[in-house]
Amino acid sequence: MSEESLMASDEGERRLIAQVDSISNQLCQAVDGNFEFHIHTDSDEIALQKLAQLNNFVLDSVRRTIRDLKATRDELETRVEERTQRLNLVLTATNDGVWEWDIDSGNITLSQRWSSMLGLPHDGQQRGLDDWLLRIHDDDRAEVQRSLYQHIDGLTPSVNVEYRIRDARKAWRMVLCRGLCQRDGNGVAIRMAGTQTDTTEQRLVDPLTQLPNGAYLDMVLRERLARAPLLPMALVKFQLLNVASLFDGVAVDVAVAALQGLVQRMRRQLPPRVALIALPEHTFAMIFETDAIERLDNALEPLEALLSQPVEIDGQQVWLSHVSGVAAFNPAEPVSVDEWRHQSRLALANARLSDVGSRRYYSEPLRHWERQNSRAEQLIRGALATRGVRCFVQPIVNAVTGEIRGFEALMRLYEPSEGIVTPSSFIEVAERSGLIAPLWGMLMEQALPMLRDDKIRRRFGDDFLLSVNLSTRQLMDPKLLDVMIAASARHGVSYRRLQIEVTETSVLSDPIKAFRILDRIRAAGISVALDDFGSGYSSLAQLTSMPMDTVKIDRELVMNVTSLPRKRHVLSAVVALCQRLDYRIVVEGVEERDTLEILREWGVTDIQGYIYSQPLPLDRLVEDLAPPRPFRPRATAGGPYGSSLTSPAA
Amino acid sequence: MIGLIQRVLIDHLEIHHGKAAVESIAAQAGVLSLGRRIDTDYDDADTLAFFAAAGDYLELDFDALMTLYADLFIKWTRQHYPIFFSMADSAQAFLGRQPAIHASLGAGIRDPHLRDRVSDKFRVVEKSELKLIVDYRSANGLCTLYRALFLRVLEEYGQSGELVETRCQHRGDEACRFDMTFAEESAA
Ligand code: HEM
Repeated sequence: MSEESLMASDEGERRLIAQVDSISNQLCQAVDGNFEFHIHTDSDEIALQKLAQLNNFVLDSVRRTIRDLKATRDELETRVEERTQRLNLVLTATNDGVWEWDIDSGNITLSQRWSSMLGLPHDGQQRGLDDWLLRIHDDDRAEVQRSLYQHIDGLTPSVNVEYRIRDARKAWRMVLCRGLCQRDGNGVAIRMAGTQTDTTEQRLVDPLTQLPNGAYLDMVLRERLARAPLLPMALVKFQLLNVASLFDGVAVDVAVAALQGLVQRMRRQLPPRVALIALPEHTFAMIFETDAIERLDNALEPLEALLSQPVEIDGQQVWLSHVSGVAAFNPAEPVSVDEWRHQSRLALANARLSDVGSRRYYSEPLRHWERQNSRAEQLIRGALATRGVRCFVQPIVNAVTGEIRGFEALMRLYEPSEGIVTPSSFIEVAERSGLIAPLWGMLMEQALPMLRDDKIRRRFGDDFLLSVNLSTRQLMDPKLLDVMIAASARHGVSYRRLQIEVTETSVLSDPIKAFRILDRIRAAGISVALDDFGSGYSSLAQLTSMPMDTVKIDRELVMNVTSLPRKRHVLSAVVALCQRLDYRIVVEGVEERDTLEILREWGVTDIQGYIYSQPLPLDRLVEDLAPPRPFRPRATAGGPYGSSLTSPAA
Repeated sequence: MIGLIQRVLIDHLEIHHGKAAVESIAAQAGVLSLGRRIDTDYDDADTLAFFAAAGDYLELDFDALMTLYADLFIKWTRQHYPIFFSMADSAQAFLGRQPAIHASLGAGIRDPHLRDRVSDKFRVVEKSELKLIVDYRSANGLCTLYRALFLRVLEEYGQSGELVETRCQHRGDEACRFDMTFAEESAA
């Protein structure tokens, strides 16, 4: 090879190497994982062009593969995203949060929804199991732990436990937690996952009225008192007294619908932000953001106006009566939730003692009243413990013949320092506390023997009735009849000589039930008397349908009839009505001869009152009660007004 | 079209008829600068015009030119892309891979549109041991070339077989379809 051709081939080889090198250099761009480039060569050599071409092919294949992988990944992601969204949708709809517990690491992963359910920020971070458990109410935690571990141990098919958990606002929410273990081939638990459902709402709604319930009130009160700054507020308790009359002779679902309708109308009478909360015994609570009496009066007026209208039910009109109690909250003198509720309860209880429609505001004197109540309770408990119940009796006299038709047994308590205490200072507390039953039992133990007491029989015969008062609670007690029959049997007397006295208020608290019970009692041969008729709000409508034998007209209607013509008209109308309805009539509270004259003119025979005798201790009866003399109209008797109708004691 | 196609013909003409002949054929075809880089895409119209002019020069009709060209082409590709041949142990295996070979050579084109244009021309519709169906879709309408190459490939592998063009762009079909069958026994 010549020098020249050697140089030429040297030159050719160098160019070739440079061109190969150029291709290599271009390929260096791939170092960053970037394949978006193109190999180029200037060479005329087919081999180099091939090299460039096939490198380009490889690069293109890499790009294509990456693109395909990315497309697949995108598609998978979209699908996962879609599924997640769909799952989230389902979980949102069911109000569920999701949790996952990796048992080995002890880590808990909580879903966004889980966190937001409790108002917690969702940082997506893993937490320890304790983070979760510590939020759970102290009283519920052990149970939650137990159900988790029981399931891990394979004792239970799943976790299913309800508990209270604290949310971000430090309020309690009720949640239902369900979970399931994933296990390996040997049945060893690897992880547990499940849902948490907020059941607070279910727990917070009153099923009858669909209003928020007492648990809700409790929560709201706690929230309001946790606010800073505290604001003036008022807690109002509003009670419907005779809801039972809605159910009177009406199908239950119709009555429930009427009640629900009424409740909705009541709700609309309130400012939108004031919740109407349903409590037991047809009581409703409301929280107002003011403690000014005037503003509260204004706010409650529409509600009361609504209830002054009758409720239409089954084509009938029913008037519901109500009372309310208000406890204002003064931020300057904050009280606890329990105290606040207690104050409103006191105000309501006090309102119940007054006329229907009345509203009581809590004040210090109510505390005093409450203390008295508690003193009354002490008195009752003392009397029960020391057999301090005393039976007094007051005769019901046939004015025409002077015969004793019966004795009303009246309860008195003996207290060592106060002596004899009359029912006015304890009966209400006794009824409310349920202590009336044992008191009544003791009274009966003393009263029943009088029916076979020789001295009494000799003096007053074997026909008089023993009339006993019953409280609402006793009346509604289904065992009442059995108790009376058993007590009579124990004392060897006939229960047919018993008469029970019930008040209108008792009967109207649940007329259907009361009527049923009274029917049974009368069917057994025990007489039923309606006591205190005319003292409170009386319903003539009830008078016509009530299963009873006797109406006892209250002294309220009788007082001053001799001097007030209008009262005389009312009394005469009531007497005439009872006579027309064939009820026996006993007029109570008759103290004067003139009154008796009038009553006799209207044909009333049976009289109970001071004119014959005040209530006497049972053990002094024979000694202190002179046999009554038959009434002689003045024309015949010629006696002066006010003359005594009893002969001097024998 | 990728320069490889005309290069095979240019090389042949240069060797057997001289540089001057190639230049006059190019002038006849109206091709100003004749490219022959196998990694570069040239104007389809230039390629087709050069082929037509070469046919005139060689006094061959299109079928004969294609038969000649197929022979040149297989020889040329066997020399420069021997692996494509050794990878396939039969004509049907080679022909079955042909669309992929085109796509890989087309992948060398810088412009993605043109790249796809090359890659999309051929598509295997059906492939089994003795049967192959391929679709060919191209404005260049070179199904004659395909048929010639088919026969030449059979010869290369010493096989016999048959090609029926069941669809053809020249007959108004959207694409040409080559329905190919291969004899069981080798013809050799
Ligand atoms: C190693 C083998 C082969 C190589 C390297 C090869 C390469 C090429 C190249 C680079 C083109 C130009 C493509 C363009 O720019 O669009 C082409 C076109 C073509 N090839 Fe091949 N080819 C091979 C085998 C075959 C075989 C076996 C056949 C037929 C049986 C075939 C049929 C065609 C046809 C019909 C065209 C024209 C396409 C058009 O532009 O319409 N090729 N070939």
